[in-house]
Amino acid sequence: MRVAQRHNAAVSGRADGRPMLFAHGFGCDQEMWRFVAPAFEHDHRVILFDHVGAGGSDLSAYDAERHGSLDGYAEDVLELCRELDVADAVFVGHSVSSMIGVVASIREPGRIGKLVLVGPSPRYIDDEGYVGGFTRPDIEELLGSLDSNFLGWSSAMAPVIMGNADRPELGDELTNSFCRTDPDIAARFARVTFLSDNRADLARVDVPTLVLQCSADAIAPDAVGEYVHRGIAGSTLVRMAATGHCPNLSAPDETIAAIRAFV
Amino acid sequence: MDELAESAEDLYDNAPCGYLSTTPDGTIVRVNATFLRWTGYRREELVGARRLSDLLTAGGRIYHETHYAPLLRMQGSVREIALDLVCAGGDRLPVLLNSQLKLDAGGAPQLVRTTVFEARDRKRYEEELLAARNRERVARERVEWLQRITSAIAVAADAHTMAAAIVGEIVGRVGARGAGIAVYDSASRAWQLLGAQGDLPAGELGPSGPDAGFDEGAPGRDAAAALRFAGGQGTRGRLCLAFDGARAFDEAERAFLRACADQTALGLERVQLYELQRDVSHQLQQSMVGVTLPSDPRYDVATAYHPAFEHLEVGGDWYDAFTLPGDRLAIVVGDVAGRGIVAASAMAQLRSAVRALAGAGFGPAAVLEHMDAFVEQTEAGRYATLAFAAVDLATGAVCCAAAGHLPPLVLQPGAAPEYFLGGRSTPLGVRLGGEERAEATFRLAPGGSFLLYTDGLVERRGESIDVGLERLVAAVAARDEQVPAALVDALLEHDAPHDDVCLLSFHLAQRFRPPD
Repeated sequence: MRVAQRHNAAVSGRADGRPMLFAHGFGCDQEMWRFVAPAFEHDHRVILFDHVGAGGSDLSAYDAERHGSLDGYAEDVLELCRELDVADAVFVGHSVSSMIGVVASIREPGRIGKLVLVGPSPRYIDDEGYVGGFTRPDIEELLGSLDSNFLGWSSAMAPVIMGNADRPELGDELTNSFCRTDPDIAARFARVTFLSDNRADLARVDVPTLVLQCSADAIAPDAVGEYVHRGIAGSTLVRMAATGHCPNLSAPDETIAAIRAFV
Repeated sequence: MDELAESAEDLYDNAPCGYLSTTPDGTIVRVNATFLRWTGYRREELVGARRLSDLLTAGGRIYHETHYAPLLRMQGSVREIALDLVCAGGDRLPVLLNSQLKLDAGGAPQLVRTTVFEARDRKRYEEELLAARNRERVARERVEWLQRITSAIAVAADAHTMAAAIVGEIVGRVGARGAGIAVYDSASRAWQLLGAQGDLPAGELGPSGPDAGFDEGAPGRDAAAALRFAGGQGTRGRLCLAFDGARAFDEAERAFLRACADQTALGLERVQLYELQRDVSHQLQQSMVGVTLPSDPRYDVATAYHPAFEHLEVGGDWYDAFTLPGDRLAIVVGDVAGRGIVAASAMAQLRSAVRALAGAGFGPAAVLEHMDAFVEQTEAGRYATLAFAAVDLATGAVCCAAAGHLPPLVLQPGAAPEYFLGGRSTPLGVRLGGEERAEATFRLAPGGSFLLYTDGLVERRGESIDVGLERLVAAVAARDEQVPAALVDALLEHDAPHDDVCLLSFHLAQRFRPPD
């Protein structure tokens, strides 16, 4: 199977424009970017994809060993880049995909020319002299709840469509695929995401990097954004007015403006 | 009717579910009395002061940010999301949340309306389901693992291999720092370590080590387990485990480790019995096939014996050669059905009987007839096959009788190898309609040879015996000298035999001159 098919990749925009990859974080799929990505189609070759296990990806491509660390996800991204002949791309990663982009940029220089990290965290768990925002018991509880919440999870996976009569662009098919993840894979991805520690990778990044930090982000608090900014030499930190962890959904205009100013 | 008519305000405040209204960023702007009663917060603590996500556990906040909020924004609604609310007193309240996004005239999010249903019972139900599922999974994994250990025990040929296999499986499964199996040797009155892996404190396995039981350890003291096992044949031993730090052993795990120890005892006894039998039958067979072959300048007898790879038990193949009165030589190759000590002892009896009968002056057919009576009386060696050849050393005449055995392959000088098909009859103890045992004679020219062999040399699984017989002819034709060991090697080169192979060649010297 082709890599693009494996990742349900969608390519749009200007064929000769600088490639721009949008990578979704833990929880949902490429639809996370639906309010943001189209704004770049005029100037860029825009590539959207799902990580293996999410959205319309090929679930059979999930390999517990390969996808047992962010390195495996980064290798997926690089394979996709090679197949689509992508070089010097702008990689826009949300949440855990920020670190996937960081790892990919280090693993194969030249593929990724600029990094945009939306709500990044190199380590979620507090450590000596480091504030990650979560204690180990917090994360254990989350991982436990992913397991114990399986009935709730399944109803979240196939949500009843309501109240989107005024949002005709959200068809049935789209709605049902959004946030649809295989529960087992989602639980493992959560483990990889929230137990990973990529602090040492920050210093190895040598491409221009933009860090987008939201206000009152419960997942990646201010101190973490600061840490990433300090860790990546020459990076730009933009504090956004948007609250929460998903400015790509809650404040698409502000997000677009910040990314556009950088690229 | 007026008394029954509900006021909208009262319906909102005292509905059987909690109501929350929040701004798109989650700040609570309105909340009903039911919600406050359930959670213990005062209205002023929440309205305008807290976000919905502030009332969630840390894990719940992550779920809210990664699933709830995106779903709500994308779909305009979410339903039946299970989360825990942290109440004013710190207690957790399991709830199901349904939210609806209200958009303003311009299509931008304006307000989120959320209903909250208490879900203690549902949560308990989910937990029971999950616990049952986990119990089932753990039990299934344990059974699978025990089956793996049992099959490792079954294929192990000796106690050390078996102990190493068991220890290897256990260490990985229970996360031990080390494990070992020791048995008590009553002859030397000492403990003997059969197999160990990882780091096991010295003395742990010996008589001074912890007695049978589980020690869960404590801060500063590592957990350990020592399980005694005893077999019915007097085998006594210990399965010992050492862990890093303290740990608990639940009942299923204890039962499981006890089962491992019991399996070990059974396996050790089987291996010991097996080793004993194998030693005895190997010795028996060595005494059979290790005979001193007669020698004479007029002829040469050479042999090869090749045990099957896949069997540790000996088979019942044998060969023999001895001189007979009247300047004759007896050549015998036989094959007893079955393997192990029973076959080896039957082979010994048949071999002695053939020697006694031939030494008393009986010819080949008469030897076989007496052997029929012998196997009927003793049951040893019934269905055995046997080729008996008496060579007249004065004339080169070879008188053959084959009881169900493969035919001799004869090489006359300057001629192609040819099977001698005379003197054939049924296996020992199988006489059809009282027919007589047959014998037939061929004359071997000076420099000629003949071969006697067992079926392992020519038979291959899934192949006709004719193919094997042709292969033997080709191999023999391709060689100048019929050295049995080299011939066996050549024939088995591509094919490990599934049966023992026994081959004997008789060669008449070139300078032998028979009387005219």
